Amino acid sequence: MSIKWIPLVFSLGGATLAVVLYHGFAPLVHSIQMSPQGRELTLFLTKKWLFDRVYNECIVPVALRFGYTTTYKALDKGLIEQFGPFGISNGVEKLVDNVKQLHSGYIYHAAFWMISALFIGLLFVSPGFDIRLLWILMISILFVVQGDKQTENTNA
Amino acid sequence: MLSNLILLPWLGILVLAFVPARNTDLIRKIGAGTAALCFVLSLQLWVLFDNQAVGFQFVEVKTWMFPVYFGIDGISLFFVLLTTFLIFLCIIATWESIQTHVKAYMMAFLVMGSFLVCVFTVLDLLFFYIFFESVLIPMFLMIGIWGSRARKGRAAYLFFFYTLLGSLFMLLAILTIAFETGTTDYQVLLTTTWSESRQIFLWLAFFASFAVKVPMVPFHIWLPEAHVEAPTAGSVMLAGVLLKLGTYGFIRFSIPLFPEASAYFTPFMFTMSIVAIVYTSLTTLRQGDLKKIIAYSSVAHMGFVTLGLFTGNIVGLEGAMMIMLSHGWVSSALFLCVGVLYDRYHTRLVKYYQGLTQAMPLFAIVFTFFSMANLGFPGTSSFAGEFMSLAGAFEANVTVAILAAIGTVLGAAYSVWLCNRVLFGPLQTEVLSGYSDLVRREAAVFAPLIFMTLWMGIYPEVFLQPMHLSILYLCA
Repeated sequence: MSIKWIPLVFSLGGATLAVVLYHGFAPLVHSIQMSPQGRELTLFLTKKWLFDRVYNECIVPVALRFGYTTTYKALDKGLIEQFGPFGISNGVEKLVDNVKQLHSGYIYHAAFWMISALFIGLLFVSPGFDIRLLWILMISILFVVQGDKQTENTNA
Repeated sequence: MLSNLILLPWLGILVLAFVPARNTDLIRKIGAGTAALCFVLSLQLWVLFDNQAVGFQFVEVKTWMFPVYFGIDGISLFFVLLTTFLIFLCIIATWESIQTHVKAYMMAFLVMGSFLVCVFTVLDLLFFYIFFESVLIPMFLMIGIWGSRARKGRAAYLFFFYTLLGSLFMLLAILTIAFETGTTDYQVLLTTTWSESRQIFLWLAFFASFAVKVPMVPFHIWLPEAHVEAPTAGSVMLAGVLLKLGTYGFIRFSIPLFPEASAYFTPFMFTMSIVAIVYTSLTTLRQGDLKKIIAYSSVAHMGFVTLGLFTGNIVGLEGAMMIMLSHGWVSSALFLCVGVLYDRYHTRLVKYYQGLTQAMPLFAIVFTFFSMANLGFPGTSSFAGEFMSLAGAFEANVTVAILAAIGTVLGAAYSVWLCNRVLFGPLQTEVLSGYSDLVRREAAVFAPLIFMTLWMGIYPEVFLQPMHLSILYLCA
């Protein structure tokens, strides 16, 4: 309990001592300050320590630069937004654009998606991976590629 | 008594429904009157609250589909008070500035007040989720309708989807709990024990929801957007109460329901908190928008809260509670200060403001006071909270406490610098003209906030006493 009072007692004691010395014993304080040792101590304590230069030149610019380029621009407005909602909404837009292209109207595209869906569905249903499914998918891809080439030739 | 507090805003809404929309003055008076009555009712709760009683008080049961309990303990008491207090203040503060859809505005505020009281008093997980999500609706409308710029739609959606997405994981966890125990009653669940692996899974699901709401880095980017676009009162409610829903969730559900998982994730939470404190404090330093500065500093303060919450000792937990309350007064007041400037000059950019001390001395005093409170100046509520939170962290892990203390230095840097930029230097008369100081209504709004900040800073025991037993129960 008594330890808790130490800061208060010392603060008030120090303030009181300062007032008493300044108003009651001014000549004594003056003589101490003007003595050779006192002068040296005063000069030592009143010197500019240049702490301000240390933090103004070493700490503050680094903190300000880091706060803008790294945490704000690179992370907040960069990485986090790209992986966050903005990235997701942009990604969904791109995905939708890509998916739209699948609705080409060609039968072989529709057939390809049907076979792919069947392949994925069978993967889930069948207990193990069946290599024959992979063959079906690969052959269907060949048909699509062939179909695309024919279409290109016709258009040309 | 609690049901009165919950239903009174709805009564106000019912009355408002019959008032013609053009009669804005009467609408404002009815809204303010209802909010004032709610605040008086919540004060009554504080007066009648028994500090020596363990468990929930004023317990009421309502039967919708199944019995749902409502009650308050030392933790939720002050959140209810904070909610009713800020709702009333917000209505008074925006008396002049809101001129469009006044009736809808008042209704949105009263609905939000009722839902928030429900969130803080309901003792059922499922209904907590429902009310937790319901608060989004009036807030979404507030940003979307009364927001300031064209970007408000984007900000409102961002706010909505971010929090909704996080909460979905919590819903899954609640469903798991409901299927495994057969109940979502909080008091029953407190007696349920889970295996450690199950606790970890459930804790993570709750974390996803609460971390977005707090918000913790890296789930925080919705907050500056929402704050910048929201009207002043919306920002006040966001910072003052809505952010506390996340930390309240941690202290109410994550820590007591999953104690082993909470202990398991303590180093993770410490790391996240320190990152949040330092990261957002550094980001705050370089913001040019007044609201963004306060929004980012809010994330830093919430970092102190999550730090205190997971120290696992009474000092840290009570410190976290104190910061939550203190942040409720201080950040709200700072947003109101920004509102005062915005109402006059319609800009929030720091570069347009300079030397306001000369033209707005009263405002300068208030702004300086709350900036000092924001940095945790001794004698203000933030000091009590941050000191206790850091003391708790020191007890748990010295390195964590030292790293977190960097945040207080950075906090001082951005707060003092902001004060310096806005209040001092030559007046920018070529940019802003027609300076006018605080009017009586604005001064009357700030007065209780100053009083609360000083009261909590000088004699925090009044606030600590009711929460002692509840916190002790958490640590046991």
